[in-house]
Amino acid sequence: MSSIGDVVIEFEHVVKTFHPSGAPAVRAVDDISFQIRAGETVGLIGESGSGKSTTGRLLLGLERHDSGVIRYRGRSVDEMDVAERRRMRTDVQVVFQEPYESLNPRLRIGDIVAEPLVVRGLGDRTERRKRVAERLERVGLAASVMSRFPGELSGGQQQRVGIARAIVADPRVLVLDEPTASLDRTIRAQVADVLTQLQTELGLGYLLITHDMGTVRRVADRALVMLAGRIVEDGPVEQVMNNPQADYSRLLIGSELKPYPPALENRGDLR
Amino acid sequence: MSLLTVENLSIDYHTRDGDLRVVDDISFHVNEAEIVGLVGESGSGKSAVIHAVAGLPRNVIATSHGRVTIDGSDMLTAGHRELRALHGSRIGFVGQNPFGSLHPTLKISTQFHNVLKAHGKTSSRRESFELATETLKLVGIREPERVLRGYANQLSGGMAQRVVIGIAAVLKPRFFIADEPTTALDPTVQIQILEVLRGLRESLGMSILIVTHDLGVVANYCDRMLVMRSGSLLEQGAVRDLFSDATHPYTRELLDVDAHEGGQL
Amino acid sequence: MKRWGGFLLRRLLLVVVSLWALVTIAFLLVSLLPSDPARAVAGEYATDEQIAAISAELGLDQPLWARYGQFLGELLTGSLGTDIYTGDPVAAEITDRLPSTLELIILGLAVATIVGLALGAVSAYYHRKWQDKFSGGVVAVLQSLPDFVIAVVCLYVFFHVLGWLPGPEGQLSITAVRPPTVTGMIIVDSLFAGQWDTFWDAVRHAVLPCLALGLALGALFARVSRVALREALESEQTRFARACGLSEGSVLRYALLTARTPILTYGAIMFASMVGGTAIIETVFNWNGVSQWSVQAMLTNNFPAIQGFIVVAGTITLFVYVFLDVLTGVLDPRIRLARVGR
Repeated sequence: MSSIGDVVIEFEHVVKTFHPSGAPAVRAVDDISFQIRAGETVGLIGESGSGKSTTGRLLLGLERHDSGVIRYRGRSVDEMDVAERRRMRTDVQVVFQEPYESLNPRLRIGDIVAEPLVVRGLGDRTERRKRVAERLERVGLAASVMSRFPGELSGGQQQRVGIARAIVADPRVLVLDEPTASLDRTIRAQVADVLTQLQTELGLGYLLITHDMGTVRRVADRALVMLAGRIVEDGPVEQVMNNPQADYSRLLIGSELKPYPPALENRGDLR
Repeated sequence: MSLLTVENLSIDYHTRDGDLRVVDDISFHVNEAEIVGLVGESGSGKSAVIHAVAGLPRNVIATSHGRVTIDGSDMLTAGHRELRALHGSRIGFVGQNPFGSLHPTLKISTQFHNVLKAHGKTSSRRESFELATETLKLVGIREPERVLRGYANQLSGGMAQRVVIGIAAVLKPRFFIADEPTTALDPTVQIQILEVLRGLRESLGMSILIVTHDLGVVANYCDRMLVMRSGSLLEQGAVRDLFSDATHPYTRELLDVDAHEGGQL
Repeated sequence: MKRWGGFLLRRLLLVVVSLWALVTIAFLLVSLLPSDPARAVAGEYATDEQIAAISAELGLDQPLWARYGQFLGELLTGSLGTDIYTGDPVAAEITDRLPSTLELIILGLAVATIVGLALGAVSAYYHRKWQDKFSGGVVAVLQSLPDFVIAVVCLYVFFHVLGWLPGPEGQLSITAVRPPTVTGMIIVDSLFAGQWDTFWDAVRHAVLPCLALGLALGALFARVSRVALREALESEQTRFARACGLSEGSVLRYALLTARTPILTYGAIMFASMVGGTAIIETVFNWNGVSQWSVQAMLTNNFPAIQGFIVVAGTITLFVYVFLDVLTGVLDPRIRLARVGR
């Protein structure tokens, strides 16, 4: 695992309530507190309705929290001015679940990955090309893929493009929203490895939002379990996954189907 | 006793870009009251196989070779009428997304009624309602009347999938095909649905062919498994045997991935 | 129920505001017309004094806001102003002609729906096979023919060559007896009055214009329904329905139900756009409708008539859309009912 640095994201008693019309108010996020350090992966596990997606959106600035404090590098987002807020937007990037849906099918890969740079006016054309090529190589794709279209790539390759796009503007934090859910088993492992490697090289903090325990085990350092907007368990990943304390975490992690039949449980050579 | 027999099945897809052999000479069988897992990644041909086995058309022109026999009927050569008689009454099919399968604007009870009526197994809505209530109880829904009077969008994912299984099983088919039935559901709900399927095997003696990419599902719920890749059937056998002594390197790779994520760091 | 009340109330408020905006825009647009209506009424050889006199008579010498105020005031009393050429109240001229246009639209849309759904369904169901291509070809031909060409072709075939149907002489033949006005629609009124000869005559006269309109609109309708049905037929829902042994007829019915909303929406849009949009058909068949009258008003700069027409047509459109909103809300349980249980 990578070396872990300072606290870069901090949530303190954050609350977010939604008011859908004609229905009672919903506390999607109900007083949660946690930290993400540089080089650390925090796995946020939960089922639908747990509030994990809302947490990710709060971090990305797509939703505004109702109360509590969200800090980026020690500074509360409520106190930030426009420039600081824009800086935070650049520094906190996202990789989505469905690679095909988050890549514009009509643009070439090179243009897709360069988009964040264009939007922020960073660098000229040659500099951008160089950066894009470099990032694509970092995620394990040949630079020649820049002239292709998303439809020509496999699911795993598309997801790597999404990751390349997320790191092209040198972020500090990545929000990974079910990054491997729609991928095949073997590809899932490869993409997870790319993410781990990048984290070590670039010292990124990850918020990994998922309900796939396998990826959490593989990538995360800490694990948080969410239920109905609250964090019911928080600890080092080995501890949470192998010895969950809270009742719900036991239920959730226990529902993960072991990949070997019960009869073979005791065979040492399978593990 | 073999309920489903697949002999030398090959399927070619004819697309605008040319012909593609998506399934290449595979043979397997499913016995009575047996749960078989079909494992494969995208591009393995497993989708083509189950659609051919189920006798369901796809949005692509295909030619099939070989034989697929379910309970005596050849699914590849059967006519429309024969297939329609089999669908629902002898063969049940459940997909991945329950909200995709259920009709969004018809009441659940109506959806049950239409299926029963199509097979001439009901003479009134009242009768359909009663049959549907029994079936929903069988799949573990606690307030069947309320669900029947409502619509699909009022259900949670797990309940919706139970309803889909209920509709597919209302005529008590002997053979069931489940295409990634738990992939779109939350982890705690996944086990519940698998238990429902297993329960149907116990109570109705159903044979089930589950398509999945999750080896945990296969390991814990299947008696036998089939491993497909690039159109070919690489391995098949009892789950216990394959998990302990897999011969094909691809199978080992799949198992290895899971073992790594399943408890070893 | 409380939810419904709030929804309707908000919708009605929106309608009132929209109506006011519509009326204001109608007024402003017309007042921006380049030519001088007074001069048009006075004629080519009028002197400046005569033009000025007519201008004063028409109220054109008043400042804009005064004319606006007068316009609003008249509206609230139900008056749409006076036709500058005939001197008749615009409201009366419109109510005289509107029912005929509505008759045309309703029947024409009925034909369009049948034609459009049939062509669309065939295309969707037989996707990429010859039936799809054939149906698509028919749609393409119909779409590329302007409505007056279709109208003239119909006239030529059914009137001139075959003699089955009457020519372009309007809604009734010269000798027919007009029924007493109840709705203003001759077909309906003659039915009420029990005048069977007139009824039959009116129906015969309506066939060709409605057929022409229906074919012209049906092509557009076919495209929309084709896409909506195609999507529904390729969905998982269709697969499940077939897997449960439902007949192809049931499968198609299920698909139609799912595709209902976009099709209804398009139907509503067409209805609204046809108030005024039937001008050419009305002209070809000498149909005494409001669309053709409004075009005449525009060509002759009859500004009160133009204003009045915009207000009426706009109001009809607004109410059609409100009705559509309510209808889709009622029909689609997803909109009506929130998530209840786990």
